Amino acid sequence: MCAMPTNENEWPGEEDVEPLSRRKLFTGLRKALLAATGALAAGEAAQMMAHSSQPEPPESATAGKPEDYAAPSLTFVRDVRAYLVRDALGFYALDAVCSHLGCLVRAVGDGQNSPLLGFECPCHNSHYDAQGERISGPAPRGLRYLAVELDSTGNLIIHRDRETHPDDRLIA
Amino acid sequence: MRRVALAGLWPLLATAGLLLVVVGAWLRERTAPWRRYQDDPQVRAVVPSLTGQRELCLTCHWSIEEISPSHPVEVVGCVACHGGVGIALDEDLAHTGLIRNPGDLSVAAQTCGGSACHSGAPADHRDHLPRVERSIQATYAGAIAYVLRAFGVQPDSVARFGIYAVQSYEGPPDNGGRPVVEALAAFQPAPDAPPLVQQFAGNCLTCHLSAEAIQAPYFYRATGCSACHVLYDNDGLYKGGDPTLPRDEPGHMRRHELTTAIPYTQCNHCHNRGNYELPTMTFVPRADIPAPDYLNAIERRVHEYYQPIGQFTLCEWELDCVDCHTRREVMGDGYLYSSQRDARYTECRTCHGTLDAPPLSYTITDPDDLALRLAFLNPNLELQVGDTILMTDLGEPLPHVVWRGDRLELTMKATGQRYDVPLVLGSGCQQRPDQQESHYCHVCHAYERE
Repeated sequence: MCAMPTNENEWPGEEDVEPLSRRKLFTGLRKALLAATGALAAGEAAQMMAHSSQPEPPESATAGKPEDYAAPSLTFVRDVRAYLVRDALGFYALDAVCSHLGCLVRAVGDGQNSPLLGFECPCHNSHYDAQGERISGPAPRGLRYLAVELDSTGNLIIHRDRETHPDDRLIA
Repeated sequence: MRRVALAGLWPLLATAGLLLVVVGAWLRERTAPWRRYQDDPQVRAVVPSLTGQRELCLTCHWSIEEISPSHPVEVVGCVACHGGVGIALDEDLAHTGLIRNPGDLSVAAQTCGGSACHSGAPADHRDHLPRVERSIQATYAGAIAYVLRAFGVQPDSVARFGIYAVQSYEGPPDNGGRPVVEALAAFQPAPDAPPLVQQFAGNCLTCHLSAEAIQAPYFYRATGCSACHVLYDNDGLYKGGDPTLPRDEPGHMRRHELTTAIPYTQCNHCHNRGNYELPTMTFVPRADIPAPDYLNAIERRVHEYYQPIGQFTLCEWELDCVDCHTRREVMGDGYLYSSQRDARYTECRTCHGTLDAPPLSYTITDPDDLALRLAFLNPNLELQVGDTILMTDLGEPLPHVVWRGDRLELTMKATGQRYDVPLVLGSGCQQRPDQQESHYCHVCHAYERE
């Protein structure tokens, strides 16, 4: 029958070793090994998480302060893949994702130095007018109007997940 | 008593074992084969908008060319065309189910097809794949019919067999009255067929879109859609940026790109490469290629273009094949033809007109006009609403032949080089209106290769 230690620091019959230091050594080693294992695994996991990736567009994103935008102006907001337009009536946003296969459409004219003539898709040559209505090409419908709001700090927020009416404007 | 002391070691040993496993995994990851393809190794992921599925293919193939502006990787990705396991980094696992050539006709329905892509409605001109499957280049019906007639198996040259069984499009064709056949059966000579027909079936069914290319310089090409739209150099060497593809191994495409700017060299990987010897039913490659080194570029083009004794005019070797032969001729129109002669309908007058009239033309008014779509796909063409372009007798647009004032200008699809097209109308040409095939024009305009 095996004898059990009578207390935490005592190993009966082990006169040739120092029970207290061995236990501490084992415990310390175990903790060190566990720490090394954890660090290695965490480091690798972090690297895996940090893969260079084409991010999915978030459902909404901030686009700065209204005063950052001239009137009229047209600005591509990459985070939400949308064009933020400021005209005489206010702000609105057009989805930059082509309704055909999902390529990003390009604006024809910048709306400031040259009039916005419309949008064209570089993939299959779908054309939209300045209001996002389909003109030609394989696109089945026009570009979506996305909701634009101000958050509590006065920043513009564009919502990809909320469509709005073409006549809607954010007045800011 | 020592056993008691060692009992305290087990947790430590277990922890050490765990560490070893993690270190092993870490080492395996650090030395993973995909890392050898990058200077700054990192896993590269895309989430194509078409599929929404994460793909890691670019981790190894990170600098490969984008297949075409119409198929950007962030939209289409790799797996939609090439299959495989997109989320795997292990080469074998990632390539499980890999489709090396998505354009091969055996897989094109699942890769290039789809109603929104290349198996769409004929009225929308999106039926590329079903048309190609019925084209004379895919069925090989003409060669089979001629051989069967030559050896007495059938009484005429009307096609009855193809490489595979296929039905023609339904309804009457709008093809100017050229004869079509309703269906083809798969060619399989009967056991009692003449020996040379058996040999033909065994040796000569190598010149169609489903046949693997002869693996030799000047013959390298892909199959199916890629046979035309993925360019191969005569040396068969890859010259693109994919680090996984060897540069010194023949048999590869020039670059990982689809194009409609197809030079004559691409057509020549199949055409004008040799002849079938009837007594033995074997293919005999041309002995005069490659062209001698002392020839300049123009002379080389003439030399490689046609075989000796062929007669042709200046534009027939100065231009590329696709500058004269239309998409309906080359890719088919959905109907089955008995021969190349029935499938072809372009004549010299299509561009040059006749003594009585200039070539047919029309002005583009509809922004959805097919001509604009065709021009968009070719990097050398520029066309817009309001331009007046030529068209064939069947109304097929020729977006590369445009009226510029009183000049008729042809832009070569493969190179962008421009030519003024001379007109028969008002010239001293002796052409008879009822003699429009090229051999009549060759009487005066022939150029014969030495």
